[in-house]
Amino acid sequence: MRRVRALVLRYLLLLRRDPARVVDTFYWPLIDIAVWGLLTSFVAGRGAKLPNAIGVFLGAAILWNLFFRCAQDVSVSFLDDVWSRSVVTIFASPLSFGEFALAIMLLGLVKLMLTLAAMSIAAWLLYAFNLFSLGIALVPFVANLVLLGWSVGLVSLALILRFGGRWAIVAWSLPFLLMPFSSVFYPESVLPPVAKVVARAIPANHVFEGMRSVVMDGRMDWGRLGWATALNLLYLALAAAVTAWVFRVALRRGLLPKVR
Amino acid sequence: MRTPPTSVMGHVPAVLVRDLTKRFPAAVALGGVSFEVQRGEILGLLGPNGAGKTTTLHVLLGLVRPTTGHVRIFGLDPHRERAAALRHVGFASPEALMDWRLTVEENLRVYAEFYGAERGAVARTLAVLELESEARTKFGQLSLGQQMRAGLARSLLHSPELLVLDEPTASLDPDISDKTRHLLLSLREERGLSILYTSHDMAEVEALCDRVVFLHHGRVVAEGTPLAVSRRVLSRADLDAALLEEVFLKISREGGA
Repeated sequence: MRRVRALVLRYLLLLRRDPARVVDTFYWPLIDIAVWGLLTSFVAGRGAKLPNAIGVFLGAAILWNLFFRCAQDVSVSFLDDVWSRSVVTIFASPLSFGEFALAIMLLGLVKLMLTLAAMSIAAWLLYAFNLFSLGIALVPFVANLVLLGWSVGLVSLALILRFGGRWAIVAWSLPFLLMPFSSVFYPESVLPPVAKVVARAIPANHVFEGMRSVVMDGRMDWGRLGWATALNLLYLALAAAVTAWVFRVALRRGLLPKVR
Repeated sequence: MRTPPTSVMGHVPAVLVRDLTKRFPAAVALGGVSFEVQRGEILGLLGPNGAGKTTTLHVLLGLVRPTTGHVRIFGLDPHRERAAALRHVGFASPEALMDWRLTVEENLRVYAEFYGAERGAVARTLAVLELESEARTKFGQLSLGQQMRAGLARSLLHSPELLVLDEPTASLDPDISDKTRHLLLSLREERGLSILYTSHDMAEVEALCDRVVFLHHGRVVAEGTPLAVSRRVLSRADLDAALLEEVFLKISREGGA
């Protein structure tokens, strides 16, 4: 655990030293809150018939940010080492790849808490929306998005490790590949039939449907939550297995010292 | 030849490389390399670019898996007993940097934790490497030579028993290079440190190394004390001083010894 703690410490030191990390953790999420809040106020002012519109959109914006930041933190933390040419330094130490992966996943969790706090406070101050009015349901929603974020982050990391830093773009683009099927800002029912099939295999879709169910109808959809959790556990196991396999390939092919 | 202190000589060598081969999809990097580094010994791993020196170091450090053969660090397999084996090793190379946004001291604090270094290790190594005035400078703002010294400081944080150094004086000015050489020699004398070391500076190798291993196209082509290798490769039994520069050129241009 000492080595994991040291790696988390390093990334937290970076948060202090690197303005780009501050922007990722606070600036973009707050811009999202401002934009979605204004859009919702505009739509609601036009008499749109959407119960608790501010809760639906701001809740979705906050939860999507949590997933996206969590996924991004895992892969960007690895990219930080690629860009600073410290991959060799780190992996020539007693630190194992498992410890490295655990550290960047935990870091994602820490930064997610910071983002969650900043967005929740902003939503409450600007639009009087209290995310915590979702009650205890918020916990499994957030937990499921963290699990999905870790899975997507690990797959991005594996792609970067296997194909090099030129694949860095997956750190930002892969989470957004899921967005159209995740029913973040609209219900699953508006999706075309083929997209619906895909959406049902995406845990985030069940999380956002579940969130709308709580915000609009005051009802917890346990079926959706069960699906999301089962899919997430399956995907996280698969992502971990794929990443571990890619690491073994990297050791065999000598990719670690070459990743740029 | 400088004889390692007998007090630190043991039965298990610091480094054991046995029949090591490494085939990459596009090339054979190592074709059956064997050598040992005894405890307290400084061994120079030499050869032209592409000879397989860095690949050998990477296999030793658990960064690249061998195709066949095996390596041991103090009897431990760095691929199967990673943490136990690498805890004994300090590694520095111009290719092994630290985070450019953190200060030297912050970086060293993190690596001190990785290696479980004792309290005060950061301040001690900063002093040894004369880096106190750069402690609060961001790593990315250091000159190449200062970065290399910071890397050496990192490699010494946990008082390792083996140093693996890939061209450690490549970016240093002559004064700092000389200080670094003296530091390495004094560490060996005081602690019985073993050093596996690559360099293209043959004068430095002659000054530092007890033995040398020359690689060419992934094979060992000469091994022994600098003087013995010079006599054998240059076919000059009358030599009374090593001529590794000439040996290097002969091996690079003509291949095997």
